[in-house]
Amino acid sequence: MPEDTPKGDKPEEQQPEDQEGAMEAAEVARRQGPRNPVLRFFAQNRGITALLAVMLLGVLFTPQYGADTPYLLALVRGEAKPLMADTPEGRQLQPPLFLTSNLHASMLYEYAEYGLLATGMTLVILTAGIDLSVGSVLGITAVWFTWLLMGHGLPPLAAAGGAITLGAICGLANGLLVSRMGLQPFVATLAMMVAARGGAKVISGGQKVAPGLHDWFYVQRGTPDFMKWMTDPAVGGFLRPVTVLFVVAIVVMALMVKYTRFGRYLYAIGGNEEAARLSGVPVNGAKILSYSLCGALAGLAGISNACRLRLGNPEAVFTFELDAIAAVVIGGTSLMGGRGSVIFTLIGTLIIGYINKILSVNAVPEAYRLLVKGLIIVVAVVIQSRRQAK
Amino acid sequence: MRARMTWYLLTALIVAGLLVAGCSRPETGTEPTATTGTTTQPDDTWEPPDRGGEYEIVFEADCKWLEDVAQNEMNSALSREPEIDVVYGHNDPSAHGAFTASQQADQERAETIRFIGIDALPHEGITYVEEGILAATFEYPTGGPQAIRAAALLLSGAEVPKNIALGTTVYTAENVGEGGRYVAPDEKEGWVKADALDEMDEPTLTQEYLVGFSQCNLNEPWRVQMNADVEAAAEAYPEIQLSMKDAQNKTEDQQAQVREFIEQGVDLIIISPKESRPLTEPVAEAMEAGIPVIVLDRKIEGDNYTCFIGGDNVLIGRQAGLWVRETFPDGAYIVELKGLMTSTPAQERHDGFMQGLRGEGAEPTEEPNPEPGTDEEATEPEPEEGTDGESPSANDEPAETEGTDEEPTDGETETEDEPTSE
Repeated sequence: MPEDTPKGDKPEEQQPEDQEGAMEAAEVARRQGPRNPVLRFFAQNRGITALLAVMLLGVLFTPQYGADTPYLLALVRGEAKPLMADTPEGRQLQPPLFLTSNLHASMLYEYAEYGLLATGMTLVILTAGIDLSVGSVLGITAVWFTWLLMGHGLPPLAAAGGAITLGAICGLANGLLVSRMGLQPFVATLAMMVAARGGAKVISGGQKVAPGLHDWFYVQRGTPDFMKWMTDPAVGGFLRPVTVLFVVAIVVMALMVKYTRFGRYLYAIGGNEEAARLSGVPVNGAKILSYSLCGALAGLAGISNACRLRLGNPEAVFTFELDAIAAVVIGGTSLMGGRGSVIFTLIGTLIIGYINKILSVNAVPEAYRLLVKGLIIVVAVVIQSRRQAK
Repeated sequence: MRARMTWYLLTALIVAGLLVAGCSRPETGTEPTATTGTTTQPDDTWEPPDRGGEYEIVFEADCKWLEDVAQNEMNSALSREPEIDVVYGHNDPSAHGAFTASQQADQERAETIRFIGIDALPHEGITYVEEGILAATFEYPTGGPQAIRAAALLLSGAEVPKNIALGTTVYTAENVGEGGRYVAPDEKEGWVKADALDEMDEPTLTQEYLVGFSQCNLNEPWRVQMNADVEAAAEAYPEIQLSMKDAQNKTEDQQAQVREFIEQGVDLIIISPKESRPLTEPVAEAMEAGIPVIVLDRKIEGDNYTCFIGGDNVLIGRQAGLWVRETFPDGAYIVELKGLMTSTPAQERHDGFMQGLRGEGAEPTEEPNPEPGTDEEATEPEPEEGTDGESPSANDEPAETEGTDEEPTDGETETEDEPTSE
């Protein structure tokens, strides 16, 4: 480029200064964003912008009921059904599936477990840690829960308590290994990931825990009422208790991270662990608590999973830990710790959940789904790193 | 403040969602599906729907053999397709996941749908059929009993066919009490039906023999079942001592195991290889040392082995397709929940199913009586029996072909089979 040549001739000291000054100005302008408050809001809250974009894609790219081409494509081809149609039952709306309650209800239901895992993961990632074991802990707690409920006939709440306790114990072990023994979080939780899968298989003898697994099982046939209750639409025929559990858990965690001393410790540790320690933050205690909470939430997710599948599957949600990490990252929480929030993770979970749902409802082949997911993670991380660069 | 704005926006989103929920057409319940509503007790009053003779796959998804995934995909199918008659899962867990998803979405509608799977492990598929969860399940045989039978024949000096094809057993609500209906394998050039083994003279063993058995991986229920079948069958021949080894999904370990068997001087080796190419060499060494080798389930390269015994996923898929034709004579709208489609078993189960839907190979179905002592048609489910204590793990594993050793994700590809009880 022609402009470069004169610049190159200038004394070297001046050039970087000029550039820096220009960049700074641009940076300031960028940070402030557009003047318009609405636009500025979207520029500053990229997670929400992305979520809305995904929802818009959902409206355009889900088929109508009974059709198999995305709505936009059907419109272009002129195959789209009218939005309002006369049917034997009277006039009915025929919107793209994304505008039906059913799709949202089932998405929230399917991704409740995933959201629970990602929420727990956020607490750990805020401290600049990572928990690879959440998927396995979900597996072991799902097995343990069904074992207690169906095998020993414990009351559902007791069985659920047992499962959450077991999850918390796994998390506690992670926390102790990381804080007291000084293991890398990656290594400690990798060990737990493997061990918890093993433990799940030990409990169940490698089988799926289902009614009648052994002669002595308390439940020999059918499904315990509690499992049915957990998965039957309750709130307005729309939300299931599993979904409500997820929403409540995420709200409680968000409030806790935002308004308690423990929450602020997490950010302090993630920001600069040594500085936090020197300023009197109980680093080890906070870390142990965050891993334990992560485990307990995985226990809740395990209960949800068992209720959904009607059995305890030791291999449940194989490789889900990576999806949970992806949800956290897409939401905008930094893997380096100290930045982010549980609400970001909720947004990340919804983004991933909606994208998966849109792909699934279109029956997109697996290979393309993986490509799309990978692309989304990259885009999210690029956005995040630009924000951090400021 | 940004944080507060976030909260407001979220609240607004939730309210908007609820509004959409309230306004939009209820998906469930009131659907004008032709078949819905007529039946609550499916088995009594249920009649096959009239689809004008069309067998159409209205929704398909790669569920990677995983039950969780099958559930999610089934939810998508239910929310999109007004009419679903039958769900074909490439394994029983997928079919079960589809069943639970349908139940949870809309119980009335779920009762109008038939679910079929492949596997027929005693604790999974067969139990599901007994409980009325699945309408049918199709066995993927382990070949364990045939392997022992072939071993005994070889040790007694008899000749055994080089390639032995296994059949399958179809379990439906009607026949599950009687141990299912055996379907003989296809005629293929260079292959002999497993039934031929039973027609051969009972081997007489005059001395003690040591037989080495190398299992590639005991981390999936189907392979556990294979071991159980092998052990159970070996009880019929007190002269045969079994030395069972588990390679724990490591090819190198399995190579070493075969070589150990050779050094040990076993009289015969049975191997269910993890990968074909790397195990071809050790098997050749055994053959050179004069030890007969029976290869189970997955092949090795070339033909330097004594006997190969394996099931046929195309046959099994075809039986599933034929079942659909038989049960839905006027056509059906089908949801297919596939296994990991990069694995051979899933591809074959799909291909076979399509053949069956076209009505190909309908004749073998008629074959009424299974050979009398066929090990293969496992007599009765007796669910508890084979599996109780064993079987570690649930899902998983890849295909029976060579290339698949990547990771455990690929689910129960080859799972299935019930215990052959004698």
